[in-house]
Amino acid sequence: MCTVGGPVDIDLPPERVKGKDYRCNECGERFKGIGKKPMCPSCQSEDVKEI
Amino acid sequence: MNFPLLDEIALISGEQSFLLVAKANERFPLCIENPEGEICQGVDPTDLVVVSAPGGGPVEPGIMLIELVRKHHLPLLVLPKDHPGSGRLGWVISVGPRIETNCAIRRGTHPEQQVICSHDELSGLTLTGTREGFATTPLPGGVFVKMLKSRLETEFC
Repeated sequence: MCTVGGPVDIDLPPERVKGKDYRCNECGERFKGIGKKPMCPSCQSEDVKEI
Repeated sequence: MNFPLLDEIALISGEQSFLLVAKANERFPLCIENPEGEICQGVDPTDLVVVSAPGGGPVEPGIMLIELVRKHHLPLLVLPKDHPGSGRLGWVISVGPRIETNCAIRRGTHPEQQVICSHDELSGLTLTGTREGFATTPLPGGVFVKMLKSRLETEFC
């Protein structure tokens, strides 16, 4: 069963959740995003640019 | 196996544990807070919101967790590796287009949204969001799927 308290815990490749740095073109927020279509966490704009 | 889903929630139930599967149904940014910082994921309407209860128990807290995330956009909190609180998490959640159940990870300690901790009776399933609902790899014997509808009503008095 689930390994709560047990010795096993698989390690997944860390690059899967490293994310890329983005800046929102609408509100200027900088954030780390993952996925194909990142969104600004502050204003929810999709007008973001990788930096 | 394909299952249609709109606002319903699918219950995938084994003998000792269950999964709840719902569609995100809207586009929103989901923030994942982990010991290294914050990562934000753009969620699509066809993405799945999956709750796992590896130790079983009532379904209502799992339904509330789904609604907190998909309707109210509650950020996800990830515990550090080996955190003692991991064992106290009765319900865990993942959000994404494709989610695999895995019994070899510790509850609440993985920021990766493509995996979710499960009991071994439901481990190894791949759940994929589709336009109409979701698809799953073949379910083990003794596991059944039911559709649920739930609403939270508040009356001021």
